Amino acid sequence: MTLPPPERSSRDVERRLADILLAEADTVVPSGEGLTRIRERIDRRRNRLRWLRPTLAVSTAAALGVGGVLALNLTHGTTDTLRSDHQRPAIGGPSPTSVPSLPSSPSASPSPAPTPAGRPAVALPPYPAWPFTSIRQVRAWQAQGGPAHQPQLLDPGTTATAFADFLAVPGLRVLDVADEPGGGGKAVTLGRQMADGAVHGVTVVHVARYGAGAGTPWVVTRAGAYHLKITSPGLAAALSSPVSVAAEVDGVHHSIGFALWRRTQATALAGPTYAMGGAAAGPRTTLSYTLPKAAAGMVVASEQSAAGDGILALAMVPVRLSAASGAPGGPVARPAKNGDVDGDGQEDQAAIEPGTSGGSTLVVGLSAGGEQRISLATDASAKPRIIGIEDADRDGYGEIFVVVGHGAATELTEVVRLVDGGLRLVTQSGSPLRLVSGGSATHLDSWGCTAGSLFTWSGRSADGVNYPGTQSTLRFSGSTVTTVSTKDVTVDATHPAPSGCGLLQY
Amino acid sequence: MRRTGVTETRVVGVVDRREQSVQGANQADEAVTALYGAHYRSLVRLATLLLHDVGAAEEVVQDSFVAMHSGWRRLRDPDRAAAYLRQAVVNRSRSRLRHGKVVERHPVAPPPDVPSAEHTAMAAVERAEVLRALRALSPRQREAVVLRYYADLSEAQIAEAMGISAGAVKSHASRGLAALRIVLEQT
Repeated sequence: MTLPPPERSSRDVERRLADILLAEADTVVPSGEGLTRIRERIDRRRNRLRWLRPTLAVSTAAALGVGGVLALNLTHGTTDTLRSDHQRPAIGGPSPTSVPSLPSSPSASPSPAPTPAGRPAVALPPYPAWPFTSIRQVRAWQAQGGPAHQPQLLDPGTTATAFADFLAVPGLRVLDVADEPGGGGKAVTLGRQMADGAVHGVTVVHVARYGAGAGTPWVVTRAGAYHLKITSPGLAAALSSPVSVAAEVDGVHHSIGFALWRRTQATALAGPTYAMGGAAAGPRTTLSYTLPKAAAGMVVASEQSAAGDGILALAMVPVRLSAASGAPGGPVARPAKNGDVDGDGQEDQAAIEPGTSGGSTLVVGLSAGGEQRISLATDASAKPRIIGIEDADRDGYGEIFVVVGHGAATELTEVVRLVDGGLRLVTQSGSPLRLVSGGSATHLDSWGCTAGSLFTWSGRSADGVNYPGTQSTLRFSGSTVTTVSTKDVTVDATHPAPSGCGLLQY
Repeated sequence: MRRTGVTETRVVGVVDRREQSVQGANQADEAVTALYGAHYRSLVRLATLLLHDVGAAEEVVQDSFVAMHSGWRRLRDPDRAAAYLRQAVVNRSRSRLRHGKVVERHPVAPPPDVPSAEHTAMAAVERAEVLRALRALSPRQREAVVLRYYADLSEAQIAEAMGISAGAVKSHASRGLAALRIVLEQT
């Protein structure tokens, strides 16, 4: 080539890019201690496992009485046979004389028997989780014209997005639909555009056809993310409150929200409760729920963006929830002690995490473990703060009072309480309950609690001295309040505005 | 005697699993050593291009080796361990970037001061510019570009390592290249 082309050719550009990357990479020289570090970490991990494995073996052996001998006999010379046949009862291994005393021991029953986890997972049929969990529901849906009314369930992609919407994770779109190996199921990758401008996958929703005939719907069987997997409970586990949940997260420091959902209700039954993974174990927590009768449920784990950018990853396993009445033990005292949100008699910790734009997060660290959080819309200019935690309605669970904004001469307070195991913002007639305090020469507002009720008072003045007004008594029901009675209360120089709630100061 | 059959089977299960896990552990140990020799350096370099931090890159690669070791029995095809490692490194680097853990504690050393022909100086300037532009790409674009032009992987291999479709790889790579091309053509 005698003359260079006026513009660099595509290939030239690519070659120079490759050269630059290679040259840059060549300057990187690893420390040389890599293998040592990796081995150390593997050993540490292995030692932890060694702790666990003998416990299993020993406790089984203890339950068997003479099981230790039995196990030893089995390890001699029979390994090949064993590996080829799990169920083989080791003929000729143990001496029959060692056996008869075994089952009579009453401690045999609670021994930690090997769980079904060891069996290959492929043999499990897909478990319908949402929106149908039985063929009866599918038939009813088909009979009632479901295919015409909810055509989204006739397509794997829209079934997956409908599921995300149900879990209140909106704005996801289908990035990919792939065939599941060995069956008619599909793996639907959902994702969205994130803060960096790129579209990222958030979850892979596994769907399968369920039922027969025309208008056979797709159902969601489980969901997982590339770097977020629910490790406990297992698929279709039968659970009772309280439920231990755990996840495995690829990466370093993720806060994972765990929640329990029912198939039929578009709000979480319990949670989300947030947990961080430690260096050794993944995030885990416990969820308590109340349920009048057994129901199909889902354990949902989600990773929130630290940048307030929504959910980064979502996983779900279907479970069976048995009936559970009340929180374990119920509240220990009515009213709850000052500072006790979950009614266990211990003070819980609450804090405000300021958000980036017009929002803050109330974070409550429960004394029993786990963390709950809820977003609050706060005025951009306001410095949100927690006034305190007081059991305003004397139901044994404390309400959290948070200042979220200011008027010209007033302060606005919102109320958050634990409902069905999750934090909820208290609303009145569909909008957040805002308690107003303060005022001026023309009006005055206050609030407080008395005799197990929250109240608000509001008065107006023509002379700046006398404030005739109305005191309204509010009653809680879950996360809502309604006005149950009103009375006229006039505030003047000798009668201060009614206020105060336990130890609260505002 | 029927009932004892059940208890025996249980014990068999325990022993059997222990036996298998010991074997698996040995295989995994050997694999870690072999794969370390063959791939550690190149994986650290790959992660450094993604993270621009040698220390963080080493941690990410070490994490990936430990994860591979513990997941050894789940690896369906041990011959694919290298692909698994690459995937883990890309994924962990991304998650690290996403959570802002990389604070340039160990920034990559500047190119060594070579006795300068003007050509070399220009090359160094160009390289710095291109690397700066590389850092400005979205994580996916950067991954696609690095896996393609540094690691020299096929589209299918990149798709696997990034956990996305081949079509998405194509679009990330071409957008990334387009952004870098502006710099490459200017210098």
